[in-house]
Amino acid sequence: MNRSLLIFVGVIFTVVFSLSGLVLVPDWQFSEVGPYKTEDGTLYPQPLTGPPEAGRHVYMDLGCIYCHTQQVRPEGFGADIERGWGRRRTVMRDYMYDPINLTGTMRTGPDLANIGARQPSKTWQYLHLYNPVITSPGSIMPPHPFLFSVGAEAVAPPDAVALPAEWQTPTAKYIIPNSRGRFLVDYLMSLDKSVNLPEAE
Amino acid sequence: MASIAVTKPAAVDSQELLTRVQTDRSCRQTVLIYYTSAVFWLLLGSVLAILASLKMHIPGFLAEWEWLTFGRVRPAHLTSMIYGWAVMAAIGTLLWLQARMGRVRLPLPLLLPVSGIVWNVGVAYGMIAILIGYSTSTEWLEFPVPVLGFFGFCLVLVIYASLVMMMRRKVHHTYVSQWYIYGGVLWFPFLYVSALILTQAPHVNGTVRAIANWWFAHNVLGLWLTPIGLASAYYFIPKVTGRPVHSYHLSLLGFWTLALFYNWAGTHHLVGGPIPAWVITVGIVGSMMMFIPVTTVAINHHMTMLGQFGHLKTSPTLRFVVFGAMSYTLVSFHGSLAALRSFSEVAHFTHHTIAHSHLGVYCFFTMMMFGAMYYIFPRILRREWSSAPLIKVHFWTTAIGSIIYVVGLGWAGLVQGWMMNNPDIAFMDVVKYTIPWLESRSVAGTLMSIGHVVFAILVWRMLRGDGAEQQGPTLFTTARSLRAQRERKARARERAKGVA
Amino acid sequence: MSDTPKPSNPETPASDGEMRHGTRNPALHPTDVEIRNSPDVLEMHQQIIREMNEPADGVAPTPVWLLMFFFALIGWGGYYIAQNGGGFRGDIYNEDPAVLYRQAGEGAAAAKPVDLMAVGKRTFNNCTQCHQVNGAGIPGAFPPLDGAERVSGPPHVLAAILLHGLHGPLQVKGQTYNGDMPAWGQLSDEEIAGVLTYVRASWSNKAPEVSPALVKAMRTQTASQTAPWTGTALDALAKEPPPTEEAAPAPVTEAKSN
Repeated sequence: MNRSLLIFVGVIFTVVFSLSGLVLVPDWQFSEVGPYKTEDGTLYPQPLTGPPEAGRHVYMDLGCIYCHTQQVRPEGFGADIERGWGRRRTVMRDYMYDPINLTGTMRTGPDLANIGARQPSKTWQYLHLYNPVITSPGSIMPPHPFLFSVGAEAVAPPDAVALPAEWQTPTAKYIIPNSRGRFLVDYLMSLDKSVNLPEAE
Repeated sequence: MASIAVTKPAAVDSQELLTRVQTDRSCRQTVLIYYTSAVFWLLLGSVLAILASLKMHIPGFLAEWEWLTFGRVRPAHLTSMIYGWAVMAAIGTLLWLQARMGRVRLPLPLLLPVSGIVWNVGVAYGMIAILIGYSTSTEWLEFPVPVLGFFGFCLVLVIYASLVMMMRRKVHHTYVSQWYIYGGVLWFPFLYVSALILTQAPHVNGTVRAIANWWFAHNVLGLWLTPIGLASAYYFIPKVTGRPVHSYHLSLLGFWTLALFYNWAGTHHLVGGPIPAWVITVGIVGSMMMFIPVTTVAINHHMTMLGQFGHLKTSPTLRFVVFGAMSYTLVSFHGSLAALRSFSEVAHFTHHTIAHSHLGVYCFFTMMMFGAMYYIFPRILRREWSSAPLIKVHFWTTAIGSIIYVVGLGWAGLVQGWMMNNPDIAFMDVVKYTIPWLESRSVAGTLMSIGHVVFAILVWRMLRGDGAEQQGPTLFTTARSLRAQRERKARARERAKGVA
Repeated sequence: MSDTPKPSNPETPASDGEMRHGTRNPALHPTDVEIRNSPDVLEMHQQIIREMNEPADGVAPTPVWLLMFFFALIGWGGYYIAQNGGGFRGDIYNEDPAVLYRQAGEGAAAAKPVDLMAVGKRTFNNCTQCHQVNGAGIPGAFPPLDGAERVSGPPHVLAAILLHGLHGPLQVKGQTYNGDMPAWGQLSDEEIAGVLTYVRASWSNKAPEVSPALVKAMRTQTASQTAPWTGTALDALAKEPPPTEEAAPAPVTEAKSN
């Protein structure tokens, strides 16, 4: 094999071939699919806007994907549905408007595909983000104190979340999420893939 | 002693020797910049690795600093190791190898060293961006898009240099290492640019982003690090043992089947995900087909080494390279099987994947690059390594550390997967099960990092010129002990003859 | 493969690698004047002392068994794609070939009998974050379920809590909790009945099961309610009789069919 042109052509051909087959053909197949019209006439999914969209950037810059997935595997394949992570498997349509791939590949922590539906309590989310072991003893998730300020005034501000008695200190009786903390929780609240889709059998 | 040299092959002519000297000299600045930078990123990546590993089982460790939160340290570790260490070591190695094999001087004597500096700026910019919160959050492509400007500049020069060396080569017949390098140099920029567009550009379907993400992340191993690693193995094994590569036909088969099948393997990272069945199925078949190139390469390397394993006692280069080549076979077979749906159901989403990727990038590629560096540094600097015992320490800490890492985390990942697939086991119990294994990872990582520090000391002393006064190469076994061994064997033979 | 290389020099030495110093070699006497006068001549000596030749190719043939193995593997690959390729369709996610050939409508199987405990155990995964796996809650933040008075009390109160959530002070096992519980009205009647049944029969709790019909009746009765319950409103509700269940309809299965 002494012709460098032959290697050149072969090398370029193989990689273009796989890019077309694995990536561009699915893209073309998906291009025909639009959002799903639910029974009450609304369209699913909707592109994120406003605070949840800002929260997605927080989710990205804090690297949540390195421990959390956002995908539910089908019934009978793993125990995702039995664990209550979702009522159905996730399919292409759930992610069609996502500007970034956050499906993830690691489950050091539980799946978050439906966390907005599974844990709708913002109080819980704030306490858990501030220090995960408050709500989940034994958790190895890192605390995120930088998303909060703390206070100990007798009259707490309206957006404060009280710490449980045993976690209170003289200077920290409640926590107040900063804007990034609020955005992040808004994003988590928006994660809800419980609409039934026909292809997600 | 004299008996060794009389069989020196007659094929060596003076012209070739002169060329060799000149090519080595022409590579000096460029390879030196790429290599020393690579070692710097290796050290930084090790610090980040230990930090990330500790944070996994001591979650409160340095938790109040946002820029050191786990979700930022981990991608910083990965990018430092891949784009800092692995890619820079790969570029240094491939430029030297291309020059050597083509018997041509390295072109662009001014621009290529500059490209090394530009690449460093790109990596530094990207790492700072990740740590202060501008990661793209796309695995293996975390660097923000502008980093492409830096990388693109360097890659264009590297492609140009590689093509020019291929065209100007003095030997018509191309050697297998040249094909792999030629392929890798063309593949990597194509992969990087197209994946960056498909994962970051607006109006791409979100699921297509996931497919493009893993098409890239898998191919950057298979079509960039693997070709450079294999090119090194194909070069250094025959070079050090002085034997020809077993079979040209196997080389040919291995190269083209790798090019054809590895491309298609990436989507097995998405088994169970929101991807149509056929895309996953094709990915699985592509992965299984990897048995063909891997078996071919394994046979070729093993048959070349056959009867030559004694060299492992003396040559540091060969010891690292053979460790790497064996790990390549192992990681590839394991990867093919792990792609199957039944295996993936358990091992996907667990620490098993992390163990697998370290078997590939560390035990195979990094060890291969260590081997290459042990060979190339003395040639471009015309000095010797200052201490054989330190090289030994480097080998054994990294080898043992990586084995603990891979075996421990690989096993823990499997059990983690089985537990996670049993809904009767609370999720927190799965987490608790993994903690001792995560601690063993910290121990293994520390061991590997000690090896890296030792290696950095050796490189530092090499740059300072500590080995300049030494006459011959730095080997594990000294000339005297080898001679004594040979004499012992000769005496034993004579005794045996006498008995007969 | 016309350009197959010639077999390399078979006399390549079985030597000791890089160990070359202190030896002489006939090749070191160049006749070429240019080379002899080159300033590199010393380095060239070094080269020949410490290095082997550049690698060459051997020509061993490819073993036949290897090729057979490869063809078998390729055959398997083709079969696997044909079987599990989902017809190369973009909307088929299940690789099981049966899915591809199933007729529309055939998939909607008859309503399965419902095991409330199993449904409940699965649904309870949504509750463990606050109430914990052992039902003990988090002291001071989230009340326990294990041994709590209301859990074993009138079931229609529990259904009401799940449908609309809770807000404000609440007495549980002699402790006052001041927090919020989200509404779980998005769960189906069966899931709510299941999780209540599960909670009432787990740990030290020994209360009877809750029927989906009761949850349904409660949902109808409180359909207009938008605010969560408070502790006092719950105590009032507990004194009221449970809502009348409609004439038992067939067990409602989750609308999962398509």
